[in-house]
Amino acid sequence: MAQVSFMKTITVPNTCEINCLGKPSLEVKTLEAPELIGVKPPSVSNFELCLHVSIGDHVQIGTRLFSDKKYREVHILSPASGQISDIRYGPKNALDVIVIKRDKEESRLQISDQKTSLSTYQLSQVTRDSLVTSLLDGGLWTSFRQFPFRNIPDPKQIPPAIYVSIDQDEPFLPNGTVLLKDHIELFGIGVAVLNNIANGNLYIGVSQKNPRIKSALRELITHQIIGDYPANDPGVFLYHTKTSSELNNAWYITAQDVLRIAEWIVTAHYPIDQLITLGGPGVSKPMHYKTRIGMSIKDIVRETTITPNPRYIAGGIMTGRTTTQDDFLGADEHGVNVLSEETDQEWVPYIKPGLYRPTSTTAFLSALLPIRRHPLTTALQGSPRDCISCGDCMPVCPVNLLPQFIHKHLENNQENLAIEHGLLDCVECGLCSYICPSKIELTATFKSARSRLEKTGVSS
Amino acid sequence: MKKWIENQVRIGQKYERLYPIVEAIFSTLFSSGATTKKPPHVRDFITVKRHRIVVFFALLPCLLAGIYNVGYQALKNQELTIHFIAAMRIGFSAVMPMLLAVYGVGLLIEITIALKKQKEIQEGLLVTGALYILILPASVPVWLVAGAFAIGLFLKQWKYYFHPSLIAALIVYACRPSAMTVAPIWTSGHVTLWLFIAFSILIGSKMISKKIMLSAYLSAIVTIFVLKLFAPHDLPTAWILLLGQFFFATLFIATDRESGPHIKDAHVIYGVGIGVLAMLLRYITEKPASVMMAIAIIQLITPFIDQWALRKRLQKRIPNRIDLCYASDDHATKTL
Repeated sequence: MAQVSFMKTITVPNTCEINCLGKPSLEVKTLEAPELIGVKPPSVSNFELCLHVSIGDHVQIGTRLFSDKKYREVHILSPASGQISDIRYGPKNALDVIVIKRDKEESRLQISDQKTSLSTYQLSQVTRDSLVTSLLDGGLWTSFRQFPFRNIPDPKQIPPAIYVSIDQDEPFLPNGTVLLKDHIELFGIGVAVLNNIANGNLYIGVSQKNPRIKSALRELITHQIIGDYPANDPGVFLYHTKTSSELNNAWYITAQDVLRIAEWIVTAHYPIDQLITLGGPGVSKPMHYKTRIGMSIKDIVRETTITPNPRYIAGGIMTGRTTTQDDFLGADEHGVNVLSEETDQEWVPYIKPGLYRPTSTTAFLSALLPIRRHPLTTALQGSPRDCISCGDCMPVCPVNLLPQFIHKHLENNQENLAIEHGLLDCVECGLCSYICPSKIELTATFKSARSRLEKTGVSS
Repeated sequence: MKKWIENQVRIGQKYERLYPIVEAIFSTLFSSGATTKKPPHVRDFITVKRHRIVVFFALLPCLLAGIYNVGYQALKNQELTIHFIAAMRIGFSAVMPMLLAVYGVGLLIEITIALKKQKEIQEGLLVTGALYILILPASVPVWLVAGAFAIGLFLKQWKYYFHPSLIAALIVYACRPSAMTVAPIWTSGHVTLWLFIAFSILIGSKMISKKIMLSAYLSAIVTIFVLKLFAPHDLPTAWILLLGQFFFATLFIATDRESGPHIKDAHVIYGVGIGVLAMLLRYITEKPASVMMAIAIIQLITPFIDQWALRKRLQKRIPNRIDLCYASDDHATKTL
């Protein structure tokens, strides 16, 4: 329950600090909305969209751009007012982005019957059904994700629980303190909405490294989480508080989306801003930015110097997707990280003492030096090999999986055994792939297996 | 030049079948230069080569000390003046043919397997070959050394729970039972210091399991004391534990991650099994090779120990129920 006066402590034993340079400063800069805004579909596998607009149409802030075919009441709204200038399609003819050329003076659409904002008192009187309808009309239902496949939940379902993690440990995504600065009250309203939707089964976690928020929100927070990346991932939070199999279907939402829900409830305006980070060793001045949803990567990196031969990542460096300058940031992607594409080769690197080799193991002399941040690159750092059963992937799995066993089961098409080993608990944090000396793409294998399971179920 | 050669062995090119050999040469000389294609976008610097080279560096001084030991014993038996250079020369002349034969045969087999499977050549040979030589007496004929190693490597393709050098050594013992009674190459006081250095390197770099070492040692000590109580014997405890085959075998062979238990919860049982059985066999047979025999027997039952530990571990998990993971209208088609 959310409204408890004391919080429990979760210690996540198997975590890993990624000591990468380019941590964004806590400074927040506001970026003006550019001429072109791009709206991407949510990055979930179960969203089959039904397009409502075509090139040349004029849209307002809050106009429905597309809906989900399965849950027809789930919509994506426009974060800008202007003309649809382009609709781009990706592989398999799937919609990639709708590009809107902004008007000089933007207009808003009156979205729902909720013409006035709701006070906290009124909120307590509102039924769950009307709140769900309000969030669906406000285009905010896509903020929710459901375990284990992290897809958009059925609005008709009542969740077994909702999990909110205030902090994100992945390098580099918005800092919880920056996000909630001056928004503590708004966050409280968002929590009240979620509490209603979850019928009281709401879990809110905060990192132990975030004492300010912990004390400011002590009435709302249910758990403090101790550990490095990815201890604050909602999936890890769920795993360490899970009491029954039913909770495998719990929902989660990011703290940023809690604020957007609260903003919608309070103002009855579709929220169009988001807090993002620009980080990574490839950026000269990593920091936080307040931007319009749907800005292009080019517009986000415009004011900073970028390393030669960069790789742009939408999201964190462990789970984000590779993108280009011309692409746009999705509404569920809260950061742009830049790494150098390193293809340089050096002589016999495995023989050198390795005083300055960043590693989470103790196989290099750098393990004897104080921890320091390194300019990590996209180098694979080795060649693919067969699994040597070193077991290094086990002590870094935050949900106590045995990645090498699951990988072998999946290689042998034994999906049932992989599920028995906890494949559906995998949070796809990437640590097993990160640490693997054989450079086996464990996370990608698990991700595609989970995706296959979601679509087709268990075949054997 | 390097790029040109790499292009010749790419998929679809004329010499694509030679890819494993070209890859082995270039990955030995240079870092790969490859970049990540899928998340995570950054990777740790640890590689299989680094794993192997750390163990090999730990093993190398023991190998050199073992070579010296062979020369030392030869000079001593002939009642000649023991000189370092002379001892090393005799040692090299005895051990080098064995080493060359083992690495030659091993490389040939690894290349053949890699070409057949069209996969990268694995680096395990570097350590396995040196270990194998060290656990054999210098008097074993080279053809037998190489032949047994070839069988061990081939068996390794199917039997994941056996250390190939151990299997090869057992084949040698089966063919030449007299070899069991002769001290192996490394056995001498000269190696002890290097063994402790190797121990420090391997424990410090976490290449070996502390649990296996500790449990094997504690159980061995307890077994020796129990044996002393019920069946008095003259085996000197310290010698067995510090200078003998036991230290070497537990350090380099029992702790091998591929042939040992894959689940850490099973390490203690595995270590205790080796400790107790090695001391019992040592007491019964009074032969140095008994420790190897003990490890082989325990590795025979390691899959069962692993399964037991795995079941125990899985019982602690709250099961994933896939039938609960779909919306109700999808149940019929997607449940177990």
